[in-house]
Amino acid sequence: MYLELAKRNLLRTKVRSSLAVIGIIIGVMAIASIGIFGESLKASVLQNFEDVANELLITPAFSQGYSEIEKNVVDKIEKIPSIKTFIPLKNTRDFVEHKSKKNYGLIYGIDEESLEELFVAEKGSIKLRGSCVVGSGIADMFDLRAGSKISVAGWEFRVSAILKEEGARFDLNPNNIIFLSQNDFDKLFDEGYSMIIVKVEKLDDVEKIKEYIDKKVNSRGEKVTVFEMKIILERIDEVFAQMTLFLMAIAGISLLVAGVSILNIMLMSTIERTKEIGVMRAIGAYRETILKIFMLEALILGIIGSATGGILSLAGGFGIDMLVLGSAEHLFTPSTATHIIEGITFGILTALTSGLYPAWKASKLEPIEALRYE
Amino acid sequence: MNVIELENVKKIYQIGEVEVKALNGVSASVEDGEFVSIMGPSGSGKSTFLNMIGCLDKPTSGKVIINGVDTSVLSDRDLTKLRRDTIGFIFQTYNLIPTLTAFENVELPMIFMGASKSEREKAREILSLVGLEKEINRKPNELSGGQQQRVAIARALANNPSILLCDEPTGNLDTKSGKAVMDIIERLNKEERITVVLVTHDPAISKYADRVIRMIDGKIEGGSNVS
Repeated sequence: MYLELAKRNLLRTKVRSSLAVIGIIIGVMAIASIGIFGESLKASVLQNFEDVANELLITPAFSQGYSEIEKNVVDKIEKIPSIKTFIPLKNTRDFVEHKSKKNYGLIYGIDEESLEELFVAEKGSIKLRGSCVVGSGIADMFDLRAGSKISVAGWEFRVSAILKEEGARFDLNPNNIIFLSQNDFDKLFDEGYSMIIVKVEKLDDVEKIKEYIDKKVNSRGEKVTVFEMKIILERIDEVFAQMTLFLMAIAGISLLVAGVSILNIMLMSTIERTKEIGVMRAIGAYRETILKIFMLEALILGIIGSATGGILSLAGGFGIDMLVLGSAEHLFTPSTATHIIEGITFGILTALTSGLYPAWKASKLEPIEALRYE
Repeated sequence: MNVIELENVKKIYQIGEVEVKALNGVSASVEDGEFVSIMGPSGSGKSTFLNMIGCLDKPTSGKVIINGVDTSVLSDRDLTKLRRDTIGFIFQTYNLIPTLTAFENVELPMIFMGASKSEREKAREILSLVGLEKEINRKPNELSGGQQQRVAIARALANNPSILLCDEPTGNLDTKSGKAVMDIIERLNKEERITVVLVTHDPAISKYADRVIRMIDGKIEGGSNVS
């Protein structure tokens, strides 16, 4: 009955109640849609890095004076059981020549299989026996095609493949690298290992390998530094979470405005219904009953506004996703549901908080004062 | 047995720097089942007197005793309970809740008491008692003044009060409707033995009462037995 009474009181001032509901809808939609968009943006950025999350980069401990990874250390690491891929790398810089063009180039020694695992050929096919593979930047610089011949440190190699141009990568960016087989590299240069790329089966193994290296390799002073790619993912996650929160807080202002409008209409309602409150108190309503009726009104406004806003925010999220990201593939995720629920909760809480003061004020009216009110 | 007793009740309002003595030492008592009318000019304190009995207002000094209970020591909650369970109010301007139907208006005090839905069906019975069985689903704005006042009487009767307080119940009604309303109040007094305290300007209305209390300047001028 109290609910019915609250409902009828709201219907008494339809336009005013509708405006309050619209305010809540906008507020909830704003925070939920922006939350959904933030998650979609994060998901789409993280997607680019997902395949490197199970990677570890092992480099010499430069800070301890090591410039290369010792051979016995490389062997030790290779024997760790949970490693799926093990790619030791050597590198140096030397003269590279093609026709009349001559320049310093970055040269890496790597296994053919490892190279295939890491990168994709855009032209030709990856072969390193007596050949080399070059990154797209090198190919552009020297006008190379698959089959071209270049001279590396005075030795001639046929270019078997040109690699596809890569965007930002944290392990190895191949664009400006000339790859030789480990054998050829060792024949030409006398260099130690400069980096090991390790990939694990399961993400949980990353920690285990880190611990293993700390125990077996770095037990007597740091020889190698281990860098988990997972950390980057975690950072991205953190940064986006903060950004999303910030955007949601801005959107939250609209909810605040909605709250003020509820406060306003309910205060007006309290004043308009002063006499009615007096009558109810006279015929036996406790203060709490009056409080309850007014809070129910706020709750109804909050629930209708928030639920509608929550549903519409799915459309809002879809709209922003399509507009900014050009795709809504990350829309239907658990995080979307979380943001909608969050939006609805905030909407209802805002309505209740705004209703609190008018309801309290109404319940505090003295029956006789209220009855005398004209 | 006295159901209502007032002992030297004073009510002083401070309006700016002026003290207004709405009640200036009123002592009176009303017996169980009595019909008392309070008459007096505007500003004589008759409504304040009624509000004191109805526990809507608190005296500045003095005691208001209802059914043997000194109301000055009761909390707001207990006063509300007393009004709800013991007293029925009838106002000059009916004071029905505009969003509720006649039935729901009568139901309201029962809801405040925590009555179940089936118990609240009694509202139908009370409405037919005041001759409104056909109007139960109408809202106040769909009823005439006389009908609205009869709904208000039905509402006042919802929780079987022992005291009915009427503040100019016919003040806004034409003679015919006023008489219908007064007939109901008289019947409730005579047949149900409900104590009635009624404030009026109209000597014709005060004729229904067993006794008239005349007030002037916040004091009782002198009681007279009408019957």
